[in-house]
Amino acid sequence: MRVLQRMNNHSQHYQRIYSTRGGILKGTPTFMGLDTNKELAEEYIPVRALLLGLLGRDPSAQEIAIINKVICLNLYPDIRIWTMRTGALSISNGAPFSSAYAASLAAVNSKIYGVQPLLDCAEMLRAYDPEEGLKPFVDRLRSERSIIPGYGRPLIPGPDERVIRLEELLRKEQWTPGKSYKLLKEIEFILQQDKGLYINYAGAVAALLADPPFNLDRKSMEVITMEMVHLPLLFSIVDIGQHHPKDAPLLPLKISDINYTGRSKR
Amino acid sequence: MAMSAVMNPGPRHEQNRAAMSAAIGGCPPGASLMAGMGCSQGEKEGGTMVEYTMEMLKSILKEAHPLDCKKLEKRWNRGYGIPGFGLIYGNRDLQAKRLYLLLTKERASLPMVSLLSSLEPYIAGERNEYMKIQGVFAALMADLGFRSDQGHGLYMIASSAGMLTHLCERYDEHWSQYPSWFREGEYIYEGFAKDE
Repeated sequence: MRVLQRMNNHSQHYQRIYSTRGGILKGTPTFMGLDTNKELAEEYIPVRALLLGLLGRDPSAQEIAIINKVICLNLYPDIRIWTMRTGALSISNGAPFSSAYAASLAAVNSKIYGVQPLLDCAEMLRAYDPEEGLKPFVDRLRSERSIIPGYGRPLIPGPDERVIRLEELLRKEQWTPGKSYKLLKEIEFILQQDKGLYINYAGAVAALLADPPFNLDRKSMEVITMEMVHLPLLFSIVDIGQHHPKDAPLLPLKISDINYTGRSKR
Repeated sequence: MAMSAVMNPGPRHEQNRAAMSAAIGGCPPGASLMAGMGCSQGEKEGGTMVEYTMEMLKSILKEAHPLDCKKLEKRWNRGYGIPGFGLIYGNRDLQAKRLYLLLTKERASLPMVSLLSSLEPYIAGERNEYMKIQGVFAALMADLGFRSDQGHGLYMIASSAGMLTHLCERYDEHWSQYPSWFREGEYIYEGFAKDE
């Protein structure tokens, strides 16, 4: 009782806290107006709850199915990939699991993979003004940037097999491409001819989320991206932590691989 | 002196590689540092190793037991060897010895540093392992009166300098310049397989 009294004394000096998502309200843990112990636990699967939180309304079966597929198509843990490598390095150095996870999540904030290309692609598609014309728009992008977000794949040339499969699965869900997705494809046609570039998974997902029925803003897209990446990151860490904690095949560098080109010794 | 000694464990070290792996993709410095710091608290060669070394040394001094390597191992080896000791890339850590000599030259009375050094012959004999730079750092932190959690944090702060240097260098490079191997035969899957 004394602890609660002390806490309540402190709260008189602070501003109120506002939340649009939930909290422990009058003793009841709540998410988006639903009691987590009752309705949420009984009726919701995680993807449905995720979309409820982002859209502010109960998602349709189609929307749930689409996001489920988006997540599963990306669920391959491979520690050769930079984000997963960061987590694997951390766990192999004996860092706590959550720190290894935090390290790999920090590495998701990258320009050439992860969150940034997805967000930049959505922004780029939304910024297109039809009055400019498609070819001039693409030419301008190419002159302004070395990497056009949403296109190209550093490691594997050619079409991104996840995009091909995503489109097949989306059509089965009676999805029709919206304005952003159509623009994405039109830009691909030009880039493919000129530079041999194809849409990558970040681009496809960005356009999908920018269009109806999702119409997500930047912050919400970040949430979906984190949902897409967190399982492969976690499993990469588990894999190394459980099976190869000390001998992780993490491509050790040799001294001969390091070339020092800095100042010489005084 | 000690913070300089641990400032940069080099570009082959896991924590620097974690930061570099993030930076090569264009992660901002803060995110890349976070990636490295997440790694640098490790039990193998990071802040947690420093913390355990300090605790181990303090308990040996407090309990005043005769040195028994097997008991030490049983009590303190949590999968990464006896804290403060080991090998670096398969060899003895020469930096550790150098730091030890510099410290003892600088200041005569360093009981924890001396204790660490006195453990070395026993551990070398049993396990063929020697003092590591993180171990000497830990011993000095204990001598200076820091708590083990503070020693943990101080190690992480000190070694973040090298992390920042190496990660920033990546910003001038193309992603393909940072060693990556994606050859088929070098990645072997041995997990669950769906029934045919």
